[in-house]
Amino acid sequence: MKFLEKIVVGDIAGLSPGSGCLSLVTNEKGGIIDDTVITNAGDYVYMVVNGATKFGDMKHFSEQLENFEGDVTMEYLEDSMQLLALQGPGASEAIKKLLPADFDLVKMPFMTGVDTTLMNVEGCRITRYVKYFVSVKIVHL
Amino acid sequence: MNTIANIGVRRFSAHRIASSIAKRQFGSESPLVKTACYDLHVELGGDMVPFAGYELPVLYKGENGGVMKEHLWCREDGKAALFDVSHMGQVCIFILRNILVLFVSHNTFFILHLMLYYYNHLDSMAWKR
Repeated sequence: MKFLEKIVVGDIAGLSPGSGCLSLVTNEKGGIIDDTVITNAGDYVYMVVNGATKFGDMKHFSEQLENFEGDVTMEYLEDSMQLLALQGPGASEAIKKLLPADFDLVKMPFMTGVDTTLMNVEGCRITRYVKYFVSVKIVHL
Repeated sequence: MNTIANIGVRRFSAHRIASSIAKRQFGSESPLVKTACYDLHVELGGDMVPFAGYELPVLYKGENGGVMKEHLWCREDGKAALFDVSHMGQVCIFILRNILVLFVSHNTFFILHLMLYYYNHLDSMAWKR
C-alpha cells in the first residue's frame, strides 16, 4: 500500500475490496503525470491509465518499484487484454446480456469493479464508473 | 475464481517491463498496433486513424455514422455506445503477504493465539501494509 500511495494520490489503503476511485499519478516531486481509475480487486490492485501516457507511466512505476523495499510486484497487461468502454443510458441493459445469468448489476454500485465471466469467457473484468470499463481477454476461435 | 490477473497473462519483472517499454516507445517509424476489434471496425466503416500508437476509428462512415449521429446515439434513452479503448494501459499491482515465521517457545498457548490472530487478520493486515 505504501508503494501505491507513493505513485498515486488518495486513500488507497482505505478502499474496501471491490471498490475503486479516480486518482492521479504523480512523479517523485508530486507533479501530476496522468489520471487513473484504481480499484482494489482483492488479491491485487487494478489500474487503468491513459493510452498516450502509459509507457511513461510504466517506466515511472518500474523505476519506483526498483527503489521500493517491499514485496510488491507489477504486471502490465500489455495487449493480452483488450479494454472496451460502454457508455449511455442503455449500457446496463446491453452488458447484462453478456454477463452470467446470476450476475446482478443492481448490486454493483458506482466506482466498483469485479472479475467475471463475459460470454462464457473466464478471466474478464468489469469496472463501473461514469461508463462501464470492460476488460476482455482475447480468445482465438 | 479466475481473474484477469492470473489468466493467460505473462508476469513481468521490473526489468522486463522497462525493456519492453523501451522497445515500444512511440516513434514515427514504429508500426501502429491493431486492436482485437480492428477487422470489426473496418467492416463497420470505421475511419481508421493513428491514435496513441494504435489504429483506431475516429468515426464511422455511412448513413448512421458521423460525429453528430454517434454523439446523439450515445446519449439517447435506451441506447449505448461501445468504445474500443484498448490503447489504454491496464496494470495489476500485487502486494505480497508477509510470510509469518513463528518460533516454537514454551508458551504454546500464546503462540496458538497469535497464529489465530494473524490468520483472522491476514487479509486486512496485508491490505493496509
